[in-house]
Amino acid sequence: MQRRRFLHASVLPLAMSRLLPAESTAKPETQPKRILFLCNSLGFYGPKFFPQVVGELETSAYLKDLSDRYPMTVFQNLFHPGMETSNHDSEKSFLTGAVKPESPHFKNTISVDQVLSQYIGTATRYPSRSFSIYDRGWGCSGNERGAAIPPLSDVDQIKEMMFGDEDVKAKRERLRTDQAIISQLQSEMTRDDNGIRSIGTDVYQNVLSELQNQFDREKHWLEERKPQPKMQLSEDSEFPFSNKIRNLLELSKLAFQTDSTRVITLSLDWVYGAIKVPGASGGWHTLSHHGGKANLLNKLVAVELDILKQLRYFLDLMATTPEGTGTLLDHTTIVIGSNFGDSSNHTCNNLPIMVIGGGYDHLGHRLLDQPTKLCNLWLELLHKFDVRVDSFGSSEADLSLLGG
Amino acid sequence: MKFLKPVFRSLASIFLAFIAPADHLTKASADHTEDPRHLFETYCLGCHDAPSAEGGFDLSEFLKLNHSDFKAPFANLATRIMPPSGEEMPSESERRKMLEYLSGLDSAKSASVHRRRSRRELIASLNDLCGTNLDFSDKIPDDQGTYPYESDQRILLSKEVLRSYFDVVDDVLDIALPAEGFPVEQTWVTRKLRNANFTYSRHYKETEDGILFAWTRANNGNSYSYFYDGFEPPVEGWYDLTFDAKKVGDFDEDVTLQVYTGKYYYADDRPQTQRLLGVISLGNREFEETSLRAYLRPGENVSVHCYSSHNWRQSPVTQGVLIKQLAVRGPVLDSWPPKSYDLIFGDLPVQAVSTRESELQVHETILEQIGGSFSVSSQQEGMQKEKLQDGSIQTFWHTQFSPTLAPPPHYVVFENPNRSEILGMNYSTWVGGNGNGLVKSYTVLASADGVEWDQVLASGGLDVSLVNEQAIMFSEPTDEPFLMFRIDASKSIDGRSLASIGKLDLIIAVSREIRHDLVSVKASTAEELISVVKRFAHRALGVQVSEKELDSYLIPALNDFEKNGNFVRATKIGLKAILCSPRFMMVPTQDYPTYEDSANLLARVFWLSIPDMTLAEVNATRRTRDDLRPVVYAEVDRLLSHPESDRFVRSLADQWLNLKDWDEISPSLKLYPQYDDLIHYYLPLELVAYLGFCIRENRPITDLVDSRYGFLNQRLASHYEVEPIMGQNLRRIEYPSNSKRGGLLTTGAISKLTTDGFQTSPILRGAWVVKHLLGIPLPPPPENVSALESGDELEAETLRERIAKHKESDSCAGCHRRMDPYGFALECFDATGMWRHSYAAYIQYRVTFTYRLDGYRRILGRVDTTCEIDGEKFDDLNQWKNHLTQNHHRLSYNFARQFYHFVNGREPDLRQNLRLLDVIDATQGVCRIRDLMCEVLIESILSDQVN
Repeated sequence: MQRRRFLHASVLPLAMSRLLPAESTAKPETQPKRILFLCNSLGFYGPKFFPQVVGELETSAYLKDLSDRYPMTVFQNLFHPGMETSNHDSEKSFLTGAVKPESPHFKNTISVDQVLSQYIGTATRYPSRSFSIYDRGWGCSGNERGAAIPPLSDVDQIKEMMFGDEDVKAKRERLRTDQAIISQLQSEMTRDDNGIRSIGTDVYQNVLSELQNQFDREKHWLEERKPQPKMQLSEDSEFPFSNKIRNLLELSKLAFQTDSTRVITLSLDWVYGAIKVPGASGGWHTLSHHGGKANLLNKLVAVELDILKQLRYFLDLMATTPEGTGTLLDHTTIVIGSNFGDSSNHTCNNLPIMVIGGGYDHLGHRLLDQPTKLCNLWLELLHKFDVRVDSFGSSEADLSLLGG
Repeated sequence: MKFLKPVFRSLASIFLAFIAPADHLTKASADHTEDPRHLFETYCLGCHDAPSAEGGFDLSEFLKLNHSDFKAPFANLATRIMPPSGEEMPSESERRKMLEYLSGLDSAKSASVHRRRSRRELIASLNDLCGTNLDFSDKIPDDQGTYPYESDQRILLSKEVLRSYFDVVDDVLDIALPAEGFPVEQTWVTRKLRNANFTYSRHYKETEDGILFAWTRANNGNSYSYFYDGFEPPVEGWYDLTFDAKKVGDFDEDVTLQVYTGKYYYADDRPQTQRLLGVISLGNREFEETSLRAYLRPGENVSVHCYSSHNWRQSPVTQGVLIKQLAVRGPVLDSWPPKSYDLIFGDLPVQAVSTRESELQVHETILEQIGGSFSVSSQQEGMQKEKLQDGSIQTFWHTQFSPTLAPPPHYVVFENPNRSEILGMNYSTWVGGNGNGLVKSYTVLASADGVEWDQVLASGGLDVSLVNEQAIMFSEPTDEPFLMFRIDASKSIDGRSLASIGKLDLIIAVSREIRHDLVSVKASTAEELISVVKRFAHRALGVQVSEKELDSYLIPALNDFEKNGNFVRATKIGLKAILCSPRFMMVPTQDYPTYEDSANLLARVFWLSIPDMTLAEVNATRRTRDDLRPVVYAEVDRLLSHPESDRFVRSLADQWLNLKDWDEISPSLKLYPQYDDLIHYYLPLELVAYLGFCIRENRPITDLVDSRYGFLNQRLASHYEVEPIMGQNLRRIEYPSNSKRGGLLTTGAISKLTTDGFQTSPILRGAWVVKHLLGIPLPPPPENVSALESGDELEAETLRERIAKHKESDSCAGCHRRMDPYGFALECFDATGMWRHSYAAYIQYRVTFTYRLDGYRRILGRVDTTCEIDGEKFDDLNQWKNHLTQNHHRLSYNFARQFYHFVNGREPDLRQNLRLLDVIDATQGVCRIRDLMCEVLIESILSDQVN
């Protein structure tokens, strides 16, 4: 009952809510399906990422250790159209497919993770979560108005938010007051004869009703104690960059395990300045512009290998956490990729994209004959989660890229 | 009129002035006596005609497209980038006509009339409204994204941001009008440091007068800080930290006391960074008290780091900062009852019970605090038992070994006469010697009578090296009157039975009880509630609010008041409704029909906040440009004379000059070992001081590029290698006439902001100058070009060659011809703003990095600052600066446009651009900065009316 109400309360794009079968989320599920998106904003070095022999994942320097253990599909030749000159701004479109993100009048669209969150996020405490390494205020997730959803980057803050105790009584009072204030403002904003109306822009009105819905949800979850799972957060201060990624992944795993959320987006974003990983240090961005120079490239590879090492740690955790008759990994689709195909040139063709876990019959290395729009894969993922939409972003069709 | 769609077939096209043969255009300019379109044919078509179009720009193709972006050609003409030098030039009046023509074609309409109040504005407004001084910027997501200004109207309010605004409003109201009262102010006095690794503790010395500190840095480059013991903030708030300290040393310069806060840790050689609270400069050779005020949160500890170039890693220490004691007072309030009550409740009587100024009894040790005493099994002369409790780990207790050796067992017995609850013991090794006698294993026993030791509370092993403080927690708390720490095994160099301990004390439960002073408001009627809310609405919104509108803020408050009868609580609900209303959260980006609206705009620009009553109450009638001018000039003058306007200067520097990214770039320790916390702290202050001076003193716009003055202190002067200055207070100085310094571009802040922390790049620097100072249009870099950011091994010669090659390529030339020369002239500054003659590369370092003053660098080729702009050659920085100042028109135009964007959250449209150009052209000589700002504001206020 409660879940149904939240579903209706959440703001769905009109076209989608029509397509949504009324029972879809009320149907009891044996194991919830989840998804994690990870965008490595400076790319993965192609010659090391992609298999050297078509169809043989073990010939990828980066993936051979991973593909041994975990079934995966690695796509070669995916791209987003309209990114010819977009440079770093392409990160904003990674999960949306909106074209020309560099344009001064760019308006982004909803990201695929947020569409999913509207469908599968209604049953959990948090419909979705976005994390990033740095506090930049934006990552890969955007709401239906195309406004960036600020990711959380502080590990302690995330931990506290998801698993910390809270003062329920005071919060309950506060929610009640907030809801009274919002209702009052809303009813006044719709009245013609009021001075507020002229200020009551559509934007504010929409955001207010979204907030109202969120307060409803918070009120429900307030009455349920937060889970308090055991965690093994690392406090290694020598390599804060590596450590941050590892901890964000660890928290993601815990969020899934405790069913606190079913949709997580992790932006491995960058800022100017140096980072340090075992075996290399330097400006990550500078290194990414290696121009083929061996000394820069070696360091970049060390950074990327370190990221993959953290990823392996995460996959190990997911695969060793039993759930139902399988493991957490079996029920979680993990999508790893980048908005850059070639970071040295900052171009967006031939994006490195892979899908791991989720219980699919993975296909290994999929070299596509011709450049294929990444949004086709995003659409396919939506379908895998029973979101029955006909298109997403620049998609043309569900091409069954992932297979069964 | 047919408008053209923004489609760029080639990026190169946006450099190129738009031209169109007359017959392709409409009758937009039919009323002009002379058709300006022929001017484009005369001055532009020569290059931009198909098929030999410059830059691969095919005009005939271009004309087939609907193209409405006239901004680039306008900017190119306005900044005199086009026509390029060497080509036939239009006369000034012809140029004006061409610009006028383009502006007439501009159809750009701003999309929205409101934007969200930015994070910075929200915090400043809440503080001014509620009489608080809080920085909640870490609680609100930064939603600026890649937009140049926080005010940008394209930034949409998101649910997450609004949610955080709701929370922050609650927080501010709870601090302004706390239900439980105000925590009672306390005072702590401490002379003790917490334990530090010997790597650091050898660089301070405990003396009769206090602690003498030398200067050291940790191996990860962090300023190692020494944590004071005996104070931890019980609640979040403002605290006054008063140091009684003096300089010790036979040299002229001041010594510097840097005060930090952070979580205490027992630092190894890679300590975490901490928050620098402030800097105290000491030139006095007698003790003097100096205070600074800092916002502290529970869990944070205060630490100090003392800098002087004369005592680097000195041990034993003979020179530096001698601190007698630290006294902390807080949480402090500036007035009692607090200002918030006056601001919010106005004339309503307020009753404030005060037990303020309570003095906290500070105990040197926990044992002293519980009124206990202790004894030991034996003691060596000079290493008596008192050394256990003296707070120092450089002194220690030792069992007797001379003239006779005390036999085991060795132990310490604590007496707990008041049967306080003891949780454990805090043990520390001592440092600075051979460690003979350090405890390897122990047992803690309890006894009811001091005779029968029948209870074991804890036992185990202790580390003897690389660690000092080790807590021993009992499995259960005890209140037994006798506790024994028995040494079961200890380090012995010669096999004799010995024991020694640096510090040993008890651990008790920290009392969490904090006393509060209550403030109550003497009011009980709904009418009073209404008047309070109404008054607040007027202040917050800057306008009188209609009764109807007021209702929507009042209803939840009145309901709550009726239900709970709590006046202050209901007031908070009413205030929150106002602060969360669209009228407060959304601010207009255009259309300021009344004087009140303009007053709100001015207050928002210069204070980032609400207008004060003086401003709001000024009543002026509307208004022509000439009517408005004296009012705006006078108001700007007044607003800038208030300390709140510091917010504006900082905000402008953060956004326009990119200073907000300051902390994101850390210069490499190998290449720039001199770069330390102190320089990191003062460089932005120098930039802000300079910019603030230029604005407040209404300096000529050319001062941005060149001047004979600057704002320096001791540290900056030594960084810049100019005439030494004593003391760390920033002050205005005159540079000698042959100095390289002067202007924004020679500040270290700009040098650092334009690098990635490793090498400098003339391209980045050039792009910065072009974008932020000159306003010459540049598109994003084209695809398929490998960037020229320098790697660590990059040789200077190669860089020039590679850049030269870059410029030969057609697709790159357009941009790089424009930006590179501006960067080459700045090559004489390294990534931290120090003057240099040669480039340096860092030396590979294969083992764990160890900080050293000289860094790890080798010298590469000599710096070459020659460059060519518009066919003119420059040998060095000063010639180049002359060129920029001669083109002051460009600086003025760019500043006006940047400031317009800052104020209005959008770029001026082309008609507004044209009017700004007219103002600049009409100015005799060089434009002055504040005058330009005033003109931009008048343009902002009047734009709709004029249109």
